[in-house]
Amino acid sequence: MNKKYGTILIVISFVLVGTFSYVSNSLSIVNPSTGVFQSAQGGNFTSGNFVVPGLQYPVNLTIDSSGMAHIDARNNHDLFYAQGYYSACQRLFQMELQATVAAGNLSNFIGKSGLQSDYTMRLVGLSRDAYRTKSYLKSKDPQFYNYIKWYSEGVDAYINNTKSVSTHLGFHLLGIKPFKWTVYDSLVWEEYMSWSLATGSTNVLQSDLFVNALGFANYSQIWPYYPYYTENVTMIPGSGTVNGFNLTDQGISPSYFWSQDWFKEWATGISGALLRNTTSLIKDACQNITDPYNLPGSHNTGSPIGSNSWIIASSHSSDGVPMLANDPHLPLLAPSLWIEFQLADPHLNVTGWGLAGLPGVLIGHTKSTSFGLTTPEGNSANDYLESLSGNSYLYNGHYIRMSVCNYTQSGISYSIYSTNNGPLIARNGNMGISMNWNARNPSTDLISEIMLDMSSNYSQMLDALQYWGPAPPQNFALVSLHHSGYITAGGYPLINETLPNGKSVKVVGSVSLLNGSTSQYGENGYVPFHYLPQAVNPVRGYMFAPNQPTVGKNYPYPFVGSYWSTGGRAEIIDHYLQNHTKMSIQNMMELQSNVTDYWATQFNPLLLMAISGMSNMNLSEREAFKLLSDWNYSFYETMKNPTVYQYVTAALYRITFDRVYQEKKIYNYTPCVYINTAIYLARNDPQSSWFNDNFSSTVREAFVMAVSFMDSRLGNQSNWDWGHIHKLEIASLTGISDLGIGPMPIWGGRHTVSVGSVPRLLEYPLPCVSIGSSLRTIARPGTGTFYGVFPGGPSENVLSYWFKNQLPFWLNHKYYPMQGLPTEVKITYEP
Amino acid sequence: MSHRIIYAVASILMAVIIAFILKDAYYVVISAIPLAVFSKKWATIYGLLIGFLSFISVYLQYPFSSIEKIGTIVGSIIGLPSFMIILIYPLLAGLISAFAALLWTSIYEMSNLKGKKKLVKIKS
Repeated sequence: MNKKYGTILIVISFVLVGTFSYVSNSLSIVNPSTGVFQSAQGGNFTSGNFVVPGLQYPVNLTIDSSGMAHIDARNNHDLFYAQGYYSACQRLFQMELQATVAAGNLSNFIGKSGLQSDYTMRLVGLSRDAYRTKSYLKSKDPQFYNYIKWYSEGVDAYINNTKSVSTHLGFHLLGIKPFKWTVYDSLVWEEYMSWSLATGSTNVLQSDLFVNALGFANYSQIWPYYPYYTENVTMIPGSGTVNGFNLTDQGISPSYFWSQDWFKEWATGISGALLRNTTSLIKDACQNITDPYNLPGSHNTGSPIGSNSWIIASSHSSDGVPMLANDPHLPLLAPSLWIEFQLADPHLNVTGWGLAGLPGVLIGHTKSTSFGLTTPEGNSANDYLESLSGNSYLYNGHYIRMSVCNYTQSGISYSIYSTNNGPLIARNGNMGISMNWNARNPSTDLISEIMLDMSSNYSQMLDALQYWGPAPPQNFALVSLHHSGYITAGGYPLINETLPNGKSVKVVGSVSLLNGSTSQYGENGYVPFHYLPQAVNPVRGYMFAPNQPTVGKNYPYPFVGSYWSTGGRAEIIDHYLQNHTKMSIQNMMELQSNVTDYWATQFNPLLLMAISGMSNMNLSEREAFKLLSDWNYSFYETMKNPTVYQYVTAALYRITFDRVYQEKKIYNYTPCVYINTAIYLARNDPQSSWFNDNFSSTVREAFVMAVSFMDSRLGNQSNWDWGHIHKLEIASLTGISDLGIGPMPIWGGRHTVSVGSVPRLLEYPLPCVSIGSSLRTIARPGTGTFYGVFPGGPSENVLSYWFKNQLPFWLNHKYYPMQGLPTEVKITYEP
Repeated sequence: MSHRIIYAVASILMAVIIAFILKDAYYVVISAIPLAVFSKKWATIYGLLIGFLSFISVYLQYPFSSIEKIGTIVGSIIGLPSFMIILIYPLLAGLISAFAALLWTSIYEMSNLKGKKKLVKIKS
């Protein structure tokens, strides 16, 4: 061989070897030995003994055929430690991503695109609140602090097992390693969930935008304090008296109280002229506290989060013992926010769902108690208009320096200022808006949760709920062997108000910004526990809490800042329970799977009456009219009737309410007008300007528009099935579509008990259903009967059978018994 | 010839150990050393095959459906078909091994050439 040629070949080979080695190093994610493909081994269970350093005694763990983990330990330490270890084993990436988002550190994971989310989280102050809670628990309740600590240590023990950690797909995809899990990470995620369920702040801003754009007369017509037709379906039956106390006892007539304009200066300390100048400031505030990552998604103007629950008293039950049903509507995510457990040791035996990343069980049952929750929608956060000068705010005649937190992330520095009312969420010159969210005080929710997990009778559950809060207030449905009832637990901040007639009253929240420059409108304690909305063993035999008004208008601490749901689900539940005086487990399941829209039963006849006056209908219009006429108001995937209803109402909204919203530039900020408002106006004011002065002709115009839309976009009637336009997507936390589930046809509508909410839009395809029953549970402790299902499984590994093993049952409204299922896997964790 | 088979087998064993234990493709530079005894053409071909097959054999420990699904997920993120995602790393290992084999063969031949030249000089 020629020496020169040989040398050249050596040099070329050397360079190519170096280049390809460099490239292979950069592509290590697809290395079959060390990269993403290792995840192919994860997510499956293997029976056997495994060493878990840190345990005191062996812990038995069995997985049943539904995927539920039954953990049996000898003491609290090992129980929570094993729960943490097992949770991490199944959900480590999810837990770390959630905690990272909540802590405002997303940009550490995904770079600059996470900065806006980080800013929002830090502005809301989840991290600060979590640290505050941690210090509080550590010093005041070391026993409960230890439960969280042991859970965190269990998570961390798993993280130290690097071989297992390498099977978690998400870490490979983002090219990151797991961080050490601490008590703080559990608490910051708890804060995030609280924030996602907090109501008030965003709603106040939306109300003010509406009033600034359209005035109070329109506001009170479109958004009455209690939505139309909901006064008789409150969670607590009756006028609002709680433990013998009401508004009338304070010398205030409910009708007088609720006829007031709560946007006036006497109520808020802000003049109408000043309020009108705040529109752009309010829009900034709305934007700043909307998390673009949008994990649970409540703080935007999209589909609101709701939930269902009801309790059946002994007198109304086929077996003579109380029952409970609960299905919290949360974002449907893959993996689920929930993870299912039975936790047992000599002090505790509880079964149900906990939030991944937190110890204990939040919705579930013991042998003799059961508990579930829904969101009550009253203000737990209030917004204040601040008068600013430089870095100081005006308070009671003095300028006081704002506290400031400085941050630098991804090379970008910013500061967050706070007044005495809380963080400044928007500023424009000398005006600012601060947010006072009750989570600024340390949370003792986890104490309450674990006390519920240890409860054995009704009064112990009530004792446990004294610790719930302050954020987020929740409607707790409670059932024991012989008792059943509700309490709205948590801290509702009170504001002292003086009515125009001179009477003073403490109210919950506000519909408008409050004057932050004076102590007059500052928060002044919480509703006393004894007078929180509550009732036990209802005489009529049942109660229900699907986010409708919690209490009647005579409640002693009126919910001025209340943003109740439409009450459509409440009506269906109420009618069903009225008509089934001996409720069985099967009846409970049937009601949970109900897909009838109560408001459609009320609105469709009005639409039909208007459309029936049309002459010269074309073929499609005749068919659409027939579909509306023959409808039983159910929303099943194979039905065409709901599709016509969806598009006719969407078209009607487009040329009425939405048009006004667009003209007034509040469409992207203010929630869609409730259908009960449309029904009320159609019945009582058909010549309303909202309906372009003529309801009937506007409906006909909408009908023609909708049918024409369906003809052009969907084609012939074979494509009009509800499941064709109405789809479910269970998205991955990462946003990567292949890690999620769906889209797939799905039942349900905006107001059905088995919910499948999509916006009322004249669009195809419609946005996918993304919020729904995140779990369904039915409990009858008196006979030891417990059922449950959720749309997922224990594992976060998309490749595992256990990723979505319960989904088929969930889709078909079937349930797993929560005890007695065959064991699939037996594991022993050894110290 | 039998010696060459031994060298080839040694290279294969080393490559498999690298794929399963050392796990990074650039180590196949070592497993390519025994291939230096082959001609440039065959060393390159054997290097390519040994590097590629040793790393592709790692997939045997995973269920095929899972490999395919992961390939699809990663492919959808970076815009490549799933088979490319599955094959790209073994292919890189094969290329590193092939050029390493070529490198070692060239060095080996050069050193032999030097030896022969020295021998010629001594003889003359």
